[in-house]
Amino acid sequence: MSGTVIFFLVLYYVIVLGIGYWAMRRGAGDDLEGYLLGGRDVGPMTTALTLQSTSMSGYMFLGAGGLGFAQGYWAMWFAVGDIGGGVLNLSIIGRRMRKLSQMMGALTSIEYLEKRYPSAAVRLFAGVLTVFLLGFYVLAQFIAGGKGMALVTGIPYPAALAIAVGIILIYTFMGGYLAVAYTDFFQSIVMLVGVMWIVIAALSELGGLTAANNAISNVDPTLLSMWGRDLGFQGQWGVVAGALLIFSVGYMGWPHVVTRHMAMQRPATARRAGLWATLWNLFFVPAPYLVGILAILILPGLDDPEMAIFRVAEKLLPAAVTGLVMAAIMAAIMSTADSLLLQTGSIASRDLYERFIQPNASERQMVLVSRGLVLAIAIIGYLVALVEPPSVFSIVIFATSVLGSAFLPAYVCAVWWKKANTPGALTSMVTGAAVAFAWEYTGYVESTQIAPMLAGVISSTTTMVVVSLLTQKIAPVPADILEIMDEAAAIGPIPKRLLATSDPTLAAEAAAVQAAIDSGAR
Amino acid sequence: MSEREHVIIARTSFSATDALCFAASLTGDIEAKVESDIIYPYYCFDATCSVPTMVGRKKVSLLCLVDAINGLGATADNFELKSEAVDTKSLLRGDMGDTDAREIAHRTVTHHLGRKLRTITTFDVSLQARGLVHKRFWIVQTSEARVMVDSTTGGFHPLKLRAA
Repeated sequence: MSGTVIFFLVLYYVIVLGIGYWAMRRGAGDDLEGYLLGGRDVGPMTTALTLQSTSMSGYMFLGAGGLGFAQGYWAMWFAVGDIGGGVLNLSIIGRRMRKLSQMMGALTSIEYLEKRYPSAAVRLFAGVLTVFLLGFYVLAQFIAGGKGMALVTGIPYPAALAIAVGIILIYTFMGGYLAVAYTDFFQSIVMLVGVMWIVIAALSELGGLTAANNAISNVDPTLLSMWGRDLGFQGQWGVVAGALLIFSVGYMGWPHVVTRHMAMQRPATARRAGLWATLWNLFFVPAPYLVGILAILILPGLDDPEMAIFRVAEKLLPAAVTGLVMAAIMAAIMSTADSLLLQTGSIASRDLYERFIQPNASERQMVLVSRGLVLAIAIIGYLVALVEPPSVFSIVIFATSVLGSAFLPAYVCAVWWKKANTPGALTSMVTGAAVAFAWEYTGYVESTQIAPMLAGVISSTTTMVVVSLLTQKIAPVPADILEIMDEAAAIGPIPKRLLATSDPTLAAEAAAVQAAIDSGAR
Repeated sequence: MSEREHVIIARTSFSATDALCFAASLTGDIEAKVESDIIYPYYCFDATCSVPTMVGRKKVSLLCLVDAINGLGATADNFELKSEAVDTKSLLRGDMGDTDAREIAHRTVTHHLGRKLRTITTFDVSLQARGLVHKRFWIVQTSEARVMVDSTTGGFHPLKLRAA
């Protein structure tokens, strides 16, 4: 890496820090309190871009490019699912989950599961599984951060990894206003412009998409097919379905993603934000896969396919732009890792430690537990990433498959199916996780040609339906939950435009007022 | 003749007429009418917290309301309070104790700060109770729906048209 790249990389961070510092000096306490109270109306576009920049993880910058490089246009199955995943997620569980969690008083997504499916076992299993799998996902971010840092700075991978993990830890422990208020939006714009710049530069280098495709055809025509290199996945619709599902419906099983519904703004704002997110995805999501595909021609001797995007940027972009884009990518990876660690720490302290070990835990004890777990994940993650780093792609696909398989029916049925009960949810989670895990590690994918995600979701959904129906008499859904579900579904002749603009934070008051009016008790 | 009771209530920023115009504009029903008002109870706490920023820790003050009926906590914008005699028929009563409310408020504020600031740290939250306060909700009947309008924020939520 040239000195110019490093200079502009440093400049990026200086600008971001400067913005944060200036904002703090200018706004002092009032601005901060306004932010904390949610009084700042950032609007649907900023909401959407902020969300996108913090959810685009190392997978997009390493895994997606690596997949495109290795498998050609087959990789686009994953992109297709990802483009509409956010809106699908929002449409299916967004508004109802927002109201349901509010009315149940649930603060975390795991607590929400326990309140909807009353059982300590639900919370225990969901909490432990989530902590375990989010730990894996964080590992992918460490590896991505370490590889990126090594490339940008030129220092050896072990040292670069240590620096990346250290920065992520500081980011998580210090947090603060800077991390959230002003930088995410700026970061998302730099990321989008930068990645599009890489795509355009790569296409220009190769004489356009048609010329590039012709050249790829000369290398290996099967890379242009939708069946992968050497037609390795030809006719394997079960694997294709898995690729489509993983980032579309798979999102609905991610506890740290569904948590966002619990803090969602008014449905109308969220809907417009969803449209912005889809537009952003339309441009952004296919780009890393495409860069990976084009890298087959630009960097034919690339030793690590997951470095395709970084290497193409380094080769084709002006040094200044490379520095800025890489800084934004690194910031996005760290921001995602930070979010994941916070979720993991929160679940460990609140959903496991406070709930099962020390019910009267003080705030200080909870913070200690969270930090201890985050530190443990960092140390274990560092060692794993150092000794035998798995590919970012395989970690993310594994974690998403198991989480999606375990939790998708539980979250969807929680808001849509009044017969979904505790035994159904618990067995569904256990079955989904076990099947996806077994599928991944026992070679069933080759023998059945069905992806772990598909097998897991089918088995967990079937289990949820069958067990819930069989146990309705011995474990009926409590009446108070059914009432809350009715309210969350807004049963009654209420025009849709009223629902879209109504304030979800008033759902609980509305239920109490409705009950008072119905009973005539007031 | 209905009885009246003195309560501490948030000053109204949206009058019955405002609520009516608002609901009418939402539904397009020019014959909408304000059916009644509901006085809703909350426990109110002033929370002082220490939060990390780029220029060191800062003390911030937040308002936390705990729904005295459902036991749900939320941070809120500051509002003015006054004493007012209200019709007891409009007054909803909660059965939550102030100790429970304080616990919920503490949990709400720490969780809110951690989520908003994306950090794992202590916030040293100190709570000052303001006691039981109330908010007025206007109930507006339109041809399509019954709407509950928050008289302090202007936020609204639909209710069922008729009693179940």
